[in-house]
Amino acid sequence: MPGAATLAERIIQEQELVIGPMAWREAQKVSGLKVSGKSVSISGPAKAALAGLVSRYEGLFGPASVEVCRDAVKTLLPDVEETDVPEILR
Amino acid sequence: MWGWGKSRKRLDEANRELYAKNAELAVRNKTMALLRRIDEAAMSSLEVEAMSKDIARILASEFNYPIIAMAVVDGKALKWKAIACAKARELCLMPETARPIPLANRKNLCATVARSGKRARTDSLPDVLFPSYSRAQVGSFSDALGVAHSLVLPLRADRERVGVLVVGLNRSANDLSEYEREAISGVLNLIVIAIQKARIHESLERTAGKLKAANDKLKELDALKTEFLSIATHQLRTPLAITKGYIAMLSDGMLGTVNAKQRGAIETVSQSNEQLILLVNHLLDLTRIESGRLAVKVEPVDAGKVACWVADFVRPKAKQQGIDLKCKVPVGSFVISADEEKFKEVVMNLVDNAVKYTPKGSVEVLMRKEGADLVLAVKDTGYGMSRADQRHLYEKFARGSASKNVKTSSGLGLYVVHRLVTAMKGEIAAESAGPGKGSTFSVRLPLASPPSSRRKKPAVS
Repeated sequence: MPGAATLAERIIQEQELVIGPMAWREAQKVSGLKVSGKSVSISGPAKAALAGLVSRYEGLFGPASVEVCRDAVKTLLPDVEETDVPEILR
Repeated sequence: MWGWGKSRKRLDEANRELYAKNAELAVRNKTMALLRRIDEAAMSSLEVEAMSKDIARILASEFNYPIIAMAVVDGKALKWKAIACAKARELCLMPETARPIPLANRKNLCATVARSGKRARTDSLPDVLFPSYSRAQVGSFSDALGVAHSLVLPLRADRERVGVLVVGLNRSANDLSEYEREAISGVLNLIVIAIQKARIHESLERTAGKLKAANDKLKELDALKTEFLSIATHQLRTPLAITKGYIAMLSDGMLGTVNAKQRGAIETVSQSNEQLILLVNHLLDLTRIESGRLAVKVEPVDAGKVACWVADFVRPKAKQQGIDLKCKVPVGSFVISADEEKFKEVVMNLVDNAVKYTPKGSVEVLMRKEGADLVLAVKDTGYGMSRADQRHLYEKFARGSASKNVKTSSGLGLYVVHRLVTAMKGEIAAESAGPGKGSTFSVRLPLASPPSSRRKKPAVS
């Protein structure tokens, strides 16, 4: 079963396809996320970290970036604990 | 301050617009990359089943689909070719054991989609997989994999029903990402092309198999025919030889006086008998050649002696036709490496043919040395040959345009001659300036090495 870190990783990878390496740099600025190279871990509440990541991209690129985040995790969501998934990704 | 605020807003808008375009492009790029992978899988296999399995595996793992299945129209039914699962590849149902779904089945969603060509969705996997698998089997399978919805998509080429692609989702069918939507619509055409390519290949393989079987059967029949001919001709030779002997005895008056009327009849019988003997001999040669029993015993042969013996043998017949048959070859001058009996048969056929196809004039047998070869030429002033005739000269039962002027011809003489000459490592060629302008048949055979050249040469310092 994929965890919240997998969701975060998938979101960043998807954003990288659109905006390039900047996606990883922006992710490093999100509290609760630990980005090391191209792997991600979560410290603290997963739901808040994921919501922070989505908000980070939204703040920079607007609502289209939220759609990209949602699309990125669509296939994984049914297998992730619901408590880890922020409303914005549902 | 107001100016800076406006500029910032414009910059943000431009930034967001650029992002949206990039997002679109990213989806396109991903779709293209996926289609390329599927195309490679389709090209790497020439069998529908193997190719379907590869494509299904790629789609299942790319989109984390609980199940991707492909069924192909085969006659009046849909047959499962691949059922792949992202999570538990080993759990996948075996398509080989599935019952085909009749296209006329009204309850199965795949049959409905294949018939109508319209995509459909369901939250019940048994609607898709029953009756290929039992409801209980499908139910437990569906629970284990967490299939929430299934999309059934038609695979069609123009109006032709090719099959269906089933996408089992772990969420609602309304919840597809942009990438999934683009990829699925692109993949459908690619799968159709790949299936059609594989089907054409399979059909070609089947046809090639049938052709091979037919060819093997023909070879078997041909061998039987050759065997039959061999036996039949051997059986014919003995009575023909006896008949020939009695004709000679009748003709020579050994069985009583023969009057003029009877002599004419005997002559006709004799000619017919000779023709039959010639035909039987040719058929025997043919069976030996075709059964691979043509044995060649190469030895030094006095070609001039053989040629003149043949000319002497045929001369009475030529004389009867008013043809001057000359053998301009000095005996003992040309010694060749050949099989004497077969060389005699070659010369006999060529000289006999030349006489047969020359209504008036002459036939000459000539010989010359060319390098290490002897060239024997039989030249006549007869009917000649067109270019079209020359192209088919050495084929079995070939009948040239001049054969209408000849009563007796088996159509096998030149075929046999050609095969005999080739077996003796020689060559044969025919020339004619055209119809009515005579012909020349030339046979090239290796001269026997003189005894001196066979000796070991002294070493040169």
